[in-house]
Amino acid sequence: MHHGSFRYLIKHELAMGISRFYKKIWIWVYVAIILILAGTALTIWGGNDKFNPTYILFSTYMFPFLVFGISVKTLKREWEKGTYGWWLTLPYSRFRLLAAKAVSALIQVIAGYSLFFITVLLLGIYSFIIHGEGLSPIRELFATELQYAGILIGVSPFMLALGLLATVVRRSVMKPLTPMIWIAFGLFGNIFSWVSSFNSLSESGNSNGLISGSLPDWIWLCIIPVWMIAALLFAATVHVCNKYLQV
Amino acid sequence: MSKVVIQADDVFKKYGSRNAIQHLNVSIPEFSVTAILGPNGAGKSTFMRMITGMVKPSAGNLTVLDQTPAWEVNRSIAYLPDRARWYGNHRVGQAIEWATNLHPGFNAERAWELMKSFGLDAATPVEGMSRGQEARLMLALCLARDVPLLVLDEPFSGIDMISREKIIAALIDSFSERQQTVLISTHEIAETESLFDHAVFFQEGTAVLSGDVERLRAERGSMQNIYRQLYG
Repeated sequence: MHHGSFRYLIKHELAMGISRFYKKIWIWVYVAIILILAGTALTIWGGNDKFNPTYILFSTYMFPFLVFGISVKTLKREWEKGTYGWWLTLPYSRFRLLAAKAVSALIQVIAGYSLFFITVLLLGIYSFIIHGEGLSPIRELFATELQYAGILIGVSPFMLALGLLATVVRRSVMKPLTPMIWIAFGLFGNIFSWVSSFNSLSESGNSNGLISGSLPDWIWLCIIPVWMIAALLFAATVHVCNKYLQV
Repeated sequence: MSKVVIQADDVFKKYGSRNAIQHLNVSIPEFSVTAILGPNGAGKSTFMRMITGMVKPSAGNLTVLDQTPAWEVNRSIAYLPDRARWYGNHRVGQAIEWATNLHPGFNAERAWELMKSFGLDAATPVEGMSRGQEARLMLALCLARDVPLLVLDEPFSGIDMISREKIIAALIDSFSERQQTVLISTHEIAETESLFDHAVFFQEGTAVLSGDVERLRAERGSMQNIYRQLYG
């Protein structure tokens, strides 16, 4: 085995994934505009619960779908860019090649989450300081962020594995399974709707769609079986790639 | 009788109800430079993909370097895929780094020599390269590997005459320097005929004619004539 090949594959995948963002200046223009708008809104309407920084956490609802998208993109680009012949004939097992893609996608996802939650926290600190609300709401915002991050970390491996599976199934003799994958995508991608529905029914929850208070323990216990299903989906992806891929 | 490096015995490959390869029986001798010839859709690329394990035969027996094609065997094969592109975010130097890290038997020193002879320097970005420059880059990465088997699927496709000439010159140099078994599929028979000492003609997924080029020429005329006789 070529020494350090797995680490190099991850590095290569990360470079491929990140180079897209560097080159697209319009993405950074949008990020800057959104940050300016959020800062301005918090300056004008923040304080006294008029515009609570916690509301920005609503945007996490789309994150599981984005994870699926990143996962699909990391594999699909081999076909789109005409490099699949190089990739598939590398002298490494399909498990190793796909694992490198999964790890690189996971690194990108975790980096994205960290950036998002730190930014929201900083906006919250800014809002609470200028409106003189003290430390208590900052702690509350941080605790809420932790719950959102926990759910995202729980569901992300599943969405990631599902994205890889969707991409290989589409290019295999098993293509008729694609609609089932899209159904799973819709159901699991919408995880925050499910969680907030259960949360609003519980005593600690509220009805505005945002998670508040502590989530019941069984929701956290669900993470382990979800990760196990993600591992099975990854194994299925490797199997389809080994046996049924059509190139 | 020289050793056989690739042996196909009654190999089939089906895509749905269509046979891309059928009743394929081929022997490729060791250290030969073999032309894989035939019209589009004859099964040449599928055969090459089967050699690298990218495509698995539906039936029959295929051995490459005395093994069943699989990712492990690819350590010993340098393969240039059909219609391939290189990673757009790379520069030439990064492409060499990629191959150094991922391709066993990759000789970086030789790769730099080839890049230089092809007029490519380390800082040249792949994005923005002409089709010919990109083809030269990919071919250099294949030729820089010290492996027993080199498989080139249409290395001249869509490439201008000057690039073609440079590539053919590099191939001649490479073959004279090293003992390798080489398979090349191409439609540019007139320009490449001098490279080959063995040929396999494909039609509708099967080998309709194969053998030593000198013998075929003596029996049937030039390779172009044979091509016209078979497919004209």
